[in-house]
Amino acid sequence: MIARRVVACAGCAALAAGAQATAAAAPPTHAQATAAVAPAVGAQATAAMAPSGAQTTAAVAPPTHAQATAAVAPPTRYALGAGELRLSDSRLPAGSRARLSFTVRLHRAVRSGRLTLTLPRRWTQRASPGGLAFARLPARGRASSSRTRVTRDGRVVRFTFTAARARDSGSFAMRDNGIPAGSYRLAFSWREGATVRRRGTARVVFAARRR
Amino acid sequence: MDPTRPLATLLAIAAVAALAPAAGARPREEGVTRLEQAREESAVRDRPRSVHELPAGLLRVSPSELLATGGQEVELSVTLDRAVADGTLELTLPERWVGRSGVSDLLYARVPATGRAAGAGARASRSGRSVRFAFAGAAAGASASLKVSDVGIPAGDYELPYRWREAGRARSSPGTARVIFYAPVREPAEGEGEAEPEPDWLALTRDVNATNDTGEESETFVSVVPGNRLRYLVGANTATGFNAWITNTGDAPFAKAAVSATFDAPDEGASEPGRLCCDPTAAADAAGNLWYGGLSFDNGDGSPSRAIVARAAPGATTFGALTTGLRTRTGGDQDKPMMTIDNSPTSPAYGRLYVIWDEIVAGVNIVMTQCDTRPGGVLNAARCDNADNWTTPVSVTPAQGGYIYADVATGPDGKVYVVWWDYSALNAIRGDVCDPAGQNCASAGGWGTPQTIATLDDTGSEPLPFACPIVAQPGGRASTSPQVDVDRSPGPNRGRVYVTWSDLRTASGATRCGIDPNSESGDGMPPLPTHLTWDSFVASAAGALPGGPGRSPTVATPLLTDGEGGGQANSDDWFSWLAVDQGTGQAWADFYSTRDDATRRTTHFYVRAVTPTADGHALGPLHRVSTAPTNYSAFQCCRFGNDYGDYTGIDAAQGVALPVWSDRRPLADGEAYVAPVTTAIVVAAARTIDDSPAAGGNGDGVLEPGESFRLDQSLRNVGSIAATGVSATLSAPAGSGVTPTAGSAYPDIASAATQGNATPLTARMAAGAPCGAALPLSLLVRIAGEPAVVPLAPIQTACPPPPAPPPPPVAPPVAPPPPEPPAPVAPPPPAPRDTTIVFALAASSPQKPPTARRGIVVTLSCPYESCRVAIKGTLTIPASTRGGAAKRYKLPGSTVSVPKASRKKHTLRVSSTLRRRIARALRSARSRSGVKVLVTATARDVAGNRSTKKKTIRVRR
Repeated sequence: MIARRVVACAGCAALAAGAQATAAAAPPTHAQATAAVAPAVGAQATAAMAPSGAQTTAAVAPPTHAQATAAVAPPTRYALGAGELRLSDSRLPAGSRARLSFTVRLHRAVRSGRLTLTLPRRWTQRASPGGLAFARLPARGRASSSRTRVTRDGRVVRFTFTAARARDSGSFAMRDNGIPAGSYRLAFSWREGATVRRRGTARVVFAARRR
Repeated sequence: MDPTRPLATLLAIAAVAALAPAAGARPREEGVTRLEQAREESAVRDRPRSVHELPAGLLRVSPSELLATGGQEVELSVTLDRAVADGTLELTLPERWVGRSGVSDLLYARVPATGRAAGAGARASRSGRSVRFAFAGAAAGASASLKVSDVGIPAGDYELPYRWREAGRARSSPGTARVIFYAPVREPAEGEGEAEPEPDWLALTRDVNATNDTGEESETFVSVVPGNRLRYLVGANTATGFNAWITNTGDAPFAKAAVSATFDAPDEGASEPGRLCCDPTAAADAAGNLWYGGLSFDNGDGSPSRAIVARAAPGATTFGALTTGLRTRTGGDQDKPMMTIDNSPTSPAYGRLYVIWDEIVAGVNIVMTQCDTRPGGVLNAARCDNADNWTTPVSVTPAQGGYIYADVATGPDGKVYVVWWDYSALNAIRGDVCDPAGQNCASAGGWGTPQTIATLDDTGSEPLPFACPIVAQPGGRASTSPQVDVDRSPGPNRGRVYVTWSDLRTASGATRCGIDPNSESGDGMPPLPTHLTWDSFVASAAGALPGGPGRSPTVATPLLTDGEGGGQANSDDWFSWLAVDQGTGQAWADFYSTRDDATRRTTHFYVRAVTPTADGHALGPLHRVSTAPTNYSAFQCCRFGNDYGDYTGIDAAQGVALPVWSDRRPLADGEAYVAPVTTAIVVAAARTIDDSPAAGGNGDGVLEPGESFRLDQSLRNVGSIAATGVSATLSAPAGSGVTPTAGSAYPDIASAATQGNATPLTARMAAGAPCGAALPLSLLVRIAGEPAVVPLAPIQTACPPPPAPPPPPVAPPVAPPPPEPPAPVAPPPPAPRDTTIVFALAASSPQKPPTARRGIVVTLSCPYESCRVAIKGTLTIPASTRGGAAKRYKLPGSTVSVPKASRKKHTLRVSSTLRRRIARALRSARSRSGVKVLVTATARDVAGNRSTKKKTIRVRR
């Protein structure tokens, strides 16, 4: 197929812009054709950067032609009560080695809190035959202070806060290394002390590529 | 008896006989010439009669020979040559003619319950298989007839037993009429069956601008009508609309055919406005229909993204007013359709169109839809212009994943082969198979577990990049682009499945292509001359998807070795495609290559023949078909610009390969070019092996270690031009112990002609060479200096009897020694226990069907000691109906004594009942190739040691 792209990622939006620039030398691409009827290409990208609040922050404008089948990107922010879980992106082009990070940032001080995020099984496996890992997953994440610790044990990523203050944060960054295209669910739970305050499921789409 | 009757009969037979050559003398009548070709291919010697003498007249079967293509009639008629008061001819139709296909439940033939009569008292009627021609008070000249309309009777030799009964007269002896439906030869012999005079193919060996306009074309495809290489379609992505270019003369000018943007949508009364895009694919049938496939986007008004198909009717250079919009399963995008048509008359799905594509939701499934163009065995191509007649797409892949580039092809038995690229960490070319003879390929249950054909480069522990900007194709579309085709020709590789793809060559550069999606600019890794380079590969296997989980270089043959023939030492060779010439069985592959440019900016387009060998593939000479380089290197990097597009194509027919490519030569815009490749292709024909003492052998007709032999091997030129400067030498696999000792020249071989070698080809089998097995030999042929490999049928070898033990030494006559006192002597050490028996079981395969005097013949030998061999045989007869189970019958066993160092022939007798069953099975196209006898022979020596050998012998007509 003539040039197409997944519109819901920043990189791809850039690609789309580039595709239009190509027009002078190449036959009209699909991206161009799309642009003619889809003024809201940027709208989705904007939506992904909308301020947080509700879990439905990723609600976007009605699908344009290009987006009609690309579907709406899942939310990138999930409220935890004491803070929020934020995904760097919830819809990524599959097979592009995209980076994906999960960040937990507190709104208020927390004496003892922990977010447990369970990654899809496939992400921690290796392909057979070939033996390639589907994703590059570090054992530890980054923290804004010594009051925060981010660790991974198998499929489970833990963001642990001890005597933490507001605006403390921790993040866990991974890289896609060939996660099969599809929609994935990541269960999480926020616990303060011995009490589970919030449970939820984040969703990440590795969107199939078109050509 | 009427005294004039014998004369009338003779005249009638003479008249029919006189008509036959007259019909045969009309070379331009397609039916005649194709029938003659089919008859020749079938090797039928005992042609059926059309006229059968009855006591009171004649039974005519007209025609008694025809092509199994459907749509024809066989007329059975009885004409009296004297008055008959009360007479009846009862004729029994073959069971198949009144049955239904077990697969589709469609009739094989339409047989009316009543026929036509001329003259009072005559009547023709049918009940089940029994046809009655009844005459009551009928005068001479009265006749009755019944027509059988073939709507899909399988190729075969059918018997119609009949018996004439007449009141007051002794019952006549029964007779049997025969009707042969020949499997059609799809590719008529050169010069036959074509309306147009042959073009000068040598003059056409040049590249032709098929699109030749001011717009940009790229991503090309081509499809040739089987049996008519002058009619073909070139497809390409275009600047405006979606178009194809069609020729009926094999040359420019091409008629530009626009695909209609108005669709016949499934299950809708009104037409649907589409939004045409791109992704050309095509298929053609022997009738001349050309189907052109592509893609339509979601139009924003509720019409979804669809794969689409347009048809140009035979001879037409335009498409229909409505394009067929294929069904979808989801509202997601559809992408990268490919199509094929089952053109095998022997297939249970003959005439079925298949379209396959990527169904994109979040992940991808490879989905496929199908439509029958020959419902009931009668060609009705327009049926598939109706979207309602296409099946709901079925997912070939078991679960969503990262798939793209699906392609589909069918085998001679109708098997559907599908391949695709899994660009997830599985990082592989994968595929799956469905057999419509036993499975419903329109349901998910018809598809098994995908298998891996090759694992791709994983430099840096990363899968092959989805987007790969290289210097020659900076937009990023260079990719693995897998593709599949199957040999459906009658040649030695019939049923062989070919898959081609491209892969990055590990360690061929310091950097690797790729686009970083997190990069703001989108071009994280621009095209660099230091990138790993692309290689293209071909793998093939007989009757199955080839390859395995190994890396590309370990499971396949590179189509071009970098540096070959003076090319650059590290070139990009990608976007390979392959087509099998279904007339000759020759496979052809094409690809882009930067082998002529040290900077890797410009490409030429290359074609070469691919021939399977025992250990891989022999590649024909490299043909550069583009006369000027193409340069897209200045196009914008990394944004998936269209440049060359995503793939290219090739097709082949009647000895001519037809590559197509995206061409942007200096001062020109992007165009689709084609270049007919004409060449001489030789294949093995008749041969004679001479192992007489004069040739250095022992004259027993079997090769044994220590023997020399002569081979007279004829070669047939199935190519489109004469083969000149032909020479050949024998070639044997390493370790076989066979050494060629003399090659031979050949006279020039005209197209479609056969020539023998000028002098015998000779070789010697070393004394210690392995023996007892079939030896796969091949000929290394040079045609005008260009090398080619011609596989030969294996030659059976045998192990010679061991040399006789030396006679005991004769003691010289000496005086007896003086007696010695007896001394205590230790007992001799026990002889090592003999636990082996060397035993050989040999038999030719295939063998002729058994008769009362001829059975299944095997040869037994125990070279080192006498033995007794217990022989058992199991006869397997496949079911004649689809889905039925094969039946096995035990043949009577026996025990044979085989003297030491001798060979003994033994014949397994087959009962008359089984002989009839075999004969029936051999007449059926479905079962004829599966009639086999498994011979199990267990040899025992006097020590009680045993050795068991098995051999499967095919029974062939």
